[in-house]
Amino acid sequence: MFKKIAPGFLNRLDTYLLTKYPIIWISKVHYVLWFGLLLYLLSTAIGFLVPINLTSRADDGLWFVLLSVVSFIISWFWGYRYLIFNKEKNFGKLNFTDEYKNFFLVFFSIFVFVWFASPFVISYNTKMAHLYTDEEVIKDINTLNELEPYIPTSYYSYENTYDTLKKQTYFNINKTNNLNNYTPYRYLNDTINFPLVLSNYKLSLSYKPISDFEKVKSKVSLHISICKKYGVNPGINETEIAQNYIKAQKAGWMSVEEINFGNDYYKEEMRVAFNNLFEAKFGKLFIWDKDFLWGMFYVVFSLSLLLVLFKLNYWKQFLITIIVMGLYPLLAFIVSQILFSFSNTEQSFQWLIFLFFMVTAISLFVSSKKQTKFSPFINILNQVFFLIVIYMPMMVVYYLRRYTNLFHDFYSYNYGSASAKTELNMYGQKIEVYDYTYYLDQYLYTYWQNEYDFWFAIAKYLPIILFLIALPFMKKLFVKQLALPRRT
Amino acid sequence: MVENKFTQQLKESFASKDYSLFTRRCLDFTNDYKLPESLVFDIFELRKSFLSIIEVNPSQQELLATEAASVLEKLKNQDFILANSPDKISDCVFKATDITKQFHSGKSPFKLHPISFELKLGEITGVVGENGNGKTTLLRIISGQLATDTGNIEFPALGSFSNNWYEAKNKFAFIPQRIPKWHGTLLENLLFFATIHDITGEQNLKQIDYILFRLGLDKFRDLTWDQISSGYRMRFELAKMLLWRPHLLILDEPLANLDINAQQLFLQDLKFFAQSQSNPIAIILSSQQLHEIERIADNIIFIRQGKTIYNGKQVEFGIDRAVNSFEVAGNFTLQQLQHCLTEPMGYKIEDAGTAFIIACKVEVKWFEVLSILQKNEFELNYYRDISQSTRQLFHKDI
Repeated sequence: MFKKIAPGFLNRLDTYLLTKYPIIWISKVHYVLWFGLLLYLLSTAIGFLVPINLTSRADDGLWFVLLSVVSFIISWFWGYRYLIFNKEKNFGKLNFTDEYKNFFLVFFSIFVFVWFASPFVISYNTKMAHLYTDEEVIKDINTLNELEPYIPTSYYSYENTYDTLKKQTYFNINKTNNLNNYTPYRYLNDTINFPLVLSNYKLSLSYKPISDFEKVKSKVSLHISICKKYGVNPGINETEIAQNYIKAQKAGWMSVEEINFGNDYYKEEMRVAFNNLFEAKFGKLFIWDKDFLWGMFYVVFSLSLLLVLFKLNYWKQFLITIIVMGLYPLLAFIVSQILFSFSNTEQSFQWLIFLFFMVTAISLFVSSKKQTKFSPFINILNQVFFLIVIYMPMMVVYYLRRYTNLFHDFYSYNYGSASAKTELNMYGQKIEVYDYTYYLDQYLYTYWQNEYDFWFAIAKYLPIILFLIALPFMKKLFVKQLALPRRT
Repeated sequence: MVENKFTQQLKESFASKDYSLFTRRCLDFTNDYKLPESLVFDIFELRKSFLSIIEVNPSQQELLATEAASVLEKLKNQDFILANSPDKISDCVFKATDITKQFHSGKSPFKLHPISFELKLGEITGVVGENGNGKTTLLRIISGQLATDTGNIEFPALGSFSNNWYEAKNKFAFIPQRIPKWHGTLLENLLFFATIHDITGEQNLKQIDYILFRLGLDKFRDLTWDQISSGYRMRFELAKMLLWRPHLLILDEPLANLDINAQQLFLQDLKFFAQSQSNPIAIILSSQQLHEIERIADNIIFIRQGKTIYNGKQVEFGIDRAVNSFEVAGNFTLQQLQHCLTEPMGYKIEDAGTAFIIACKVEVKWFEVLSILQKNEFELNYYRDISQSTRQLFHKDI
């Protein structure tokens, strides 16, 4: 199928790679690059073509999911193509560096598929960011903020109080609070980067109650037109709003029951719209978020591991391995509940997991020895080790912190209570007195947190590096088993 | 021109106008010896012409005479230098010593009794026996699919890798009875198999051209699994394996899906490939086509119910026999046979179904029996001397 829709030069390249570089040919990375490029362009184009909805990210979220599903389907097709031509199962000539190339190519190809929806996110975001200029948006926010007191849709925007005798809430429209309703929260106080955004103080100075109906009405009209500009229909009647304002303005303090505020949900939509615009313009996309990128890395890495492992083993053994990996934690949980119910069941569960990992590690030594027959049991343990080895050190460090005092359990440390002494002051009141240990504990807390972060980082990065270095050896172990005669 | 069995065969095939054999052997020349590019080109063109004529009008083979004569003339003036000098650590590719295998499960447990043998480069070993007697089990053990219970297996030709199954499988080719489905086109698969066995670049393409034209598969190169018949699948599988010049070729019932002509051609080719000057191969195959196998095999292993009944040189089978045996068939009955073949030559006749098997004293030659049958005006349509054939072993009474 690839060949039928690919250009001639790519098919010629395919034949060339087939005769010269089988590892690259098997990975079909040249098709991945070509079709990946086309799909990325398509993804980008969709991002530019999809209509922008400022008040809701549900539409582009839907597109994101849709594109991810498409990429998932294409990746399955690629995976099938990748797996059907198998150098190892056909006992081809092995080179030490093959597995580095193979793993990198698989990782890259999966990354291309997993990243498929990202150009859409980028282009959609770019389009949204360039809908209006920065100055225009800030000006509109300022205008809406300035107009806000003249659009009474809620008494919260004004000074208000609850009369306990009359059991009624009163408000005064001539004195406003909560002035920067429309400024996105994250940028509210960033006067260095956004000096043009009017601060609360400036807004409070700018509000002058008006008693002229027409002037108020024109302000309401302006408010409505700005809302409509951003795709939000307020659905309010400017005359009614202006009449409400004049009535309240003349009354001064008045009961909230004397006025019909109406619906102000559209204001929330406006806030969302400005927030989305600001995020698009000045925020960091979630796809560039460090945690998201690490998450992506582990997803791609794990999928690569699974594919490579599938390729190096009999499919039935692989399937059993996946089942074992799914069932063992369940079994460990049940065993820990039954056998260790008298002690800490959670801890014993973790120890059972570590025990299993140790057994898988030992299985490597067994399989590296001379074997004359294929051992399914050892093979499954080897596969489990292959799949979990990069994650286990992180778990070990995490559980060492949680269940031992190695990192002085800084997470559960409640500083402020341990070192505080309670004494009576000159008036006989109880006060808390701190000695130096209080401050020392805070320092120690930071120290042990840093220490934990350091070891966790080592447990995160080092296994990946070691694993990649050891890849050819692991492969050798698996292909050796692949070639061994079986009992039946 | 170096006069040897090889070139002699070439001349004979030319003289007898057997252009199929002539062109095939010429192609083998290109694979075994270093020849000038122009001559290689001419040989390929000759083979292509032959294949196209065969397809259109087989009776017009004589059109090739001039072209073939020209190739033969050019070959006469060649100094033959081997394309690849076999790096012989040992001729013995596979050595089994007292290997056994037992299956406990199922209704009828099976045991392959101790057997020892060696498979050597350039030799063909035939595994024969009745169905379900252990032929496939033995071949699966040799191919490394099945582990033995006891005994020892070595690969002396692999030198330091004499115990390494991956290295062995890198050199051993196994074609099972049921060929597993492959994906992609035939050409794609050939290219892939050559490449993963380190035959890359230009050499890869040359080798594929050689094997496709050699086995007459060129017109199928762009077809897929579903587009070719089971017989051609077997030929393709052979092409796929021979391509990368294995040390050992293991074939389980390869003739099962081939027509009678294809069988003959297939076996003849196996013999040629086994005895290649540059890349000799050890071949072991099982088949029910006993006589065909015996014709090409250097060694025979006969297995009955897991026990080795005969394991040795094909030509040595029955050398110290006590009786001669002949298989006859025609328009006559057992009684008629018994009536004319009487003492004192100790004739014993058995009805073997579609034929009769006549056993007699070892002094009685085949033509003497034939002469008696002729005198008695028997309408014969089949007659075979099976005195030195394992065919006798299929018959318990004789």
